[in-house]
Amino acid sequence: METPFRYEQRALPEAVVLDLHGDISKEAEYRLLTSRDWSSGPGDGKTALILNFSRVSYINSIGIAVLIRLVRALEQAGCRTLACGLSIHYQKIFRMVGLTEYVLLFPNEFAAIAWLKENAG
Amino acid sequence: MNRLRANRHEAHVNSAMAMTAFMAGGFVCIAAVLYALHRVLSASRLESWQLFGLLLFAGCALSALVFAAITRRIVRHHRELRRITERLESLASAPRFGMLERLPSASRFETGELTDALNALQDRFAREYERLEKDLRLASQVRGLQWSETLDWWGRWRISCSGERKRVDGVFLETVPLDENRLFMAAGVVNGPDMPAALAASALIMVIRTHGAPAAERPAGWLDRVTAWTADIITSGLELNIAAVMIDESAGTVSWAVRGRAAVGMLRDGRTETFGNAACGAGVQDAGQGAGSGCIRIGDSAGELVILTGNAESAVRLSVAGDKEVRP
Amino acid sequence: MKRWPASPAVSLFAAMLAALLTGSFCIYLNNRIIHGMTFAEQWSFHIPLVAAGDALLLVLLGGMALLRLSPVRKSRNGEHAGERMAAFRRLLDFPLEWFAGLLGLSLILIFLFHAVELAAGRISLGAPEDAANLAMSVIAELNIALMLSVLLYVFSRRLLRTQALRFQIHALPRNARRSAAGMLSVTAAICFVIVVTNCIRVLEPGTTVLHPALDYLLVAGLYSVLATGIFALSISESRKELRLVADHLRRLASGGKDGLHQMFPVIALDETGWLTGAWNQLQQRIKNEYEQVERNMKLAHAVQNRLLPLSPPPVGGAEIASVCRQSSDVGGDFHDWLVLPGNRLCLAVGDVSGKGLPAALLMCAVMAGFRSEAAKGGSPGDLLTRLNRHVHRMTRGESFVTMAVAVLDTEGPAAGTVTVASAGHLDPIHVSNRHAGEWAFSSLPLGITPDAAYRESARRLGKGDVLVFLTDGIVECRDDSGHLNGFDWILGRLSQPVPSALPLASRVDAIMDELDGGYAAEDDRTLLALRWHGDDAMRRCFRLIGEYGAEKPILRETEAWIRRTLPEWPRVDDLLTVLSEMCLNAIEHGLLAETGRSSPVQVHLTGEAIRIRVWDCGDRQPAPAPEVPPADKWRQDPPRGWGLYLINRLADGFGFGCDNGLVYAESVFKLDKQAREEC
Repeated sequence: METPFRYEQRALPEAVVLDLHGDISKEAEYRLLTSRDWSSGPGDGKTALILNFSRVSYINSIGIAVLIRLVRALEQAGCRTLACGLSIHYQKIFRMVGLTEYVLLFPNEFAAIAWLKENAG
Repeated sequence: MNRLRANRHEAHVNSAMAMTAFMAGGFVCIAAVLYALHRVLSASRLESWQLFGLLLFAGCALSALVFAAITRRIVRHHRELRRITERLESLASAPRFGMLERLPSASRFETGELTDALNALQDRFAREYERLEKDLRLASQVRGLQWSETLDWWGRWRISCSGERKRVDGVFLETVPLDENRLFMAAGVVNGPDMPAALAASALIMVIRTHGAPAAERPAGWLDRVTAWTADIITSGLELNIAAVMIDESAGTVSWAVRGRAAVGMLRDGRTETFGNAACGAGVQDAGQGAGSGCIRIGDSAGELVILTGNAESAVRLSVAGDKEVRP
Repeated sequence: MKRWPASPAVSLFAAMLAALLTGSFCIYLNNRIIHGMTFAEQWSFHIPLVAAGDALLLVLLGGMALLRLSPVRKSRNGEHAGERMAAFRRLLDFPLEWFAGLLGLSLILIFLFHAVELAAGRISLGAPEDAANLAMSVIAELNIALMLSVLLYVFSRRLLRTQALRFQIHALPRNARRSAAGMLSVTAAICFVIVVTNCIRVLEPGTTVLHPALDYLLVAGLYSVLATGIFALSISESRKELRLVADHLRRLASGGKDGLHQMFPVIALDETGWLTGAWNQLQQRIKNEYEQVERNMKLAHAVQNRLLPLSPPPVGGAEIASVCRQSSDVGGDFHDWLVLPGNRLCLAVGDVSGKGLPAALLMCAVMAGFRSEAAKGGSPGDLLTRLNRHVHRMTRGESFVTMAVAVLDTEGPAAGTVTVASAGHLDPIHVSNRHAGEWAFSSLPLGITPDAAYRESARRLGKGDVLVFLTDGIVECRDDSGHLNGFDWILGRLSQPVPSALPLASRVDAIMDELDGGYAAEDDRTLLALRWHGDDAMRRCFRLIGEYGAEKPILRETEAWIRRTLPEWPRVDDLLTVLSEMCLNAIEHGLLAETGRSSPVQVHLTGEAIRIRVWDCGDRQPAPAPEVPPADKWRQDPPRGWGLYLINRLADGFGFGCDNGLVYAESVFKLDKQAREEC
């Protein structure tokens, strides 16, 4: 019933990018959180993770909880989390649940990269 | 040549040709008279300079006569043109439908032809705008009917309202005697272009009537309810200015409430007290902004209650003069 | 006819040259014929001096023209109005200046010529005959100067008129005004001087050439003709300007609406110019006044339109469509709808007698009165009875309003029952199973008598039934051949089979478009239609199975339905999130994520709100959990419970209920509220 969740990881000089596909719901809980230990950072020696939501059409409260756990783990590792490609509605949802305190929202990946370059270090 | 007049509007005399012909005829007469005079006087024993002088005198005298006749026509023609010009200038400052009046056509000459042409065009304008004028006339009758029940007297209070009551504009006034001691009035103006304001005022009068006067509530509460109902009617470009006043003779008070540009003033014993909102035209000074409702103690004293609404261009001044004696 | 050269400067110069040469030739002829001087005699003295005089006049007059007129061309298109007016006045004053210039300079030259003659001993004033001869010569030369000055004035005025036209000046200031009477009188006087002096001159002894009488006839005749011609030319020029104005007026009087208010340029500084300016001013004022009235009418039309309802509210099971087309800017037709307590839909349609603004005034009042009275409650008949008293008070029987009011119950045991009261309005048409029939009423319009009482009548509508209200503009429409459509036509059209899925609005628009294809309507036309779909039409029911992701199809179908039904509603995403969380909650806690279990989900659209109900499997209402602040939720491990949090934040209401022993969770979204949380 759900659109299956999957993600693809890309490494950029400034950050690791996760291109998310499908529904951020129960399945994402398993695939995203158990695939690796995020408390050690996004990997590749990078200190920033960019979540690309442009191919995500559905996020429910289970998905919100998954993202909170992900963000919390990365924060413990001293890493930043950025998000791009979120619809207006889900930006609102992020704000309501307080995710925007820990995740910076950008309209697209380029804006996120540009911000990282400006605020490196 | 003269054109024979079968119809006043069609044939006019070409005065230029007439004058030219008259002048030519005059020349012929002068030449003939001079020649005849010369023949007659040559036989006499006059010196040549005397003869010359007499001929000159005769020539000048005859010329003067013909010249006078011709210049009289010239001057009259130009005077008629000036008169037509003055009439056109006065029409230009007349009220709207007055501008389409015809001009009096009295001349047989070119000026008459010109006046006919002007009148043909005035008739055309009248035909073009007849529908609009008829609409406005009927609309002003409808507005007149909406005003027809306002009181002129209530107890010792004489009620008068400035401005013409049959205009197509946004002015409204309702006077509702609640009982023998209480009179309620709602007065105001919808500011904006005339016709939309009149539509809004018409709807507002109906809202006021269907709501009824506030028997048990203060004018302020009543005004809140009524203005909430007017949100659909008072659209962009229109501004509602309204004052609601309750005169209570048994309590000796006048309760008032205003919205928009409206003020209530009490003139008595040579003093003026004003209450209400700013910018309400001349006669009642501003008391400052934001005072939307209140209560004035009047007792039995004589005085004048003034309700002023709207801006300086369209102020409605409602004067309620309370005398000490009761009037019929 | 040969065209004159385009340049006015060249024409003026040519005119001046022609005048001077003509004058010189006349002087030669005069000396030759009257005084008997031979060519050789004149060549030695007269001709050189006259030629020199001509050259001097040419230079002086030419220089004057250049000086006075060259700035005019530059100023013609100038920005500054004062500068243009000054140039305009200079242009039109020039002919008179030239007239005075030529005459004055000619007088001076005549005087100088004879002074030189005297000084050179060519003439003497010893004998009276010599003085007389001199006087005759001076008179002759003076006459020539006068004639040529007048001719030059008339010609230059005609020539400069075309230049004046290009200025497009439409009004003359008071200080620019002259009178043409003066110059015409001067011209007339000059004509008399010419005729009298020449008549007397030729009567003097010693001037005979042929025969005294013949001489006199010839000279008197010639100069009379010349003088008459000069006067005729002068006065016809003046009249021509007036004729131009009159012709323009006549053209406008018989023309079309476009260009009705054309202004005519002023081409003279005299009375014709004043009149043209005054005329322009008057009809500009007329134009401005009536344009203002028309603008006002359009604004009034906009106000009226805003009073009419836009999109109808979807009230449980009822579909409304309306079309209102007015024959002029403002009119007397109206229609309205409201939702009364208990989700009862109240419709009204009406027609004020008369047209245009007076009808519009009453229309606005009646609409406001209808809404006000409808809010007080009561049956449709009561509403009309109360409204009638107010309408009569406003119209005093001078005009009236036909009106019909209908109230439809959309819920409960009476769902589908419509109660109608009519005040002299056209009978509504009930369309059921492709049969259209009139629902007859008999009553007085509003405003006729103050005490009229109105009764209502009720019917139960079947699913798919349509109730149609019209104004008489519809039945009075004519087809292409001028035939009245009539009631039967509309009954026939409404009886035609249509696909049930066709929106009522399309059907109504199609009927109105067909009516518009005929003759232009003389009256306002309104058609208001109500279709009853049944009280379950605005409800969607689903079955939620106990599997994560089972809410997705419900979300998809709900989204498509809501967006189709309420295309302008801005809170669809919020509703879907709430629906999603309620379903998720049911899957997790009610169905325990077991695929063999399911529970109903219902989305119900009413006129006021959208209600989402998700039934639980249990029969006990869950105790409301205390709300945990977001900060605390973050610290939970795992951080759950966001669903209820989001529901409470996004929906206008949330709670639990019980229906036939089954517990449900219900959230409410009010249709008239904007988003609770702004982005």
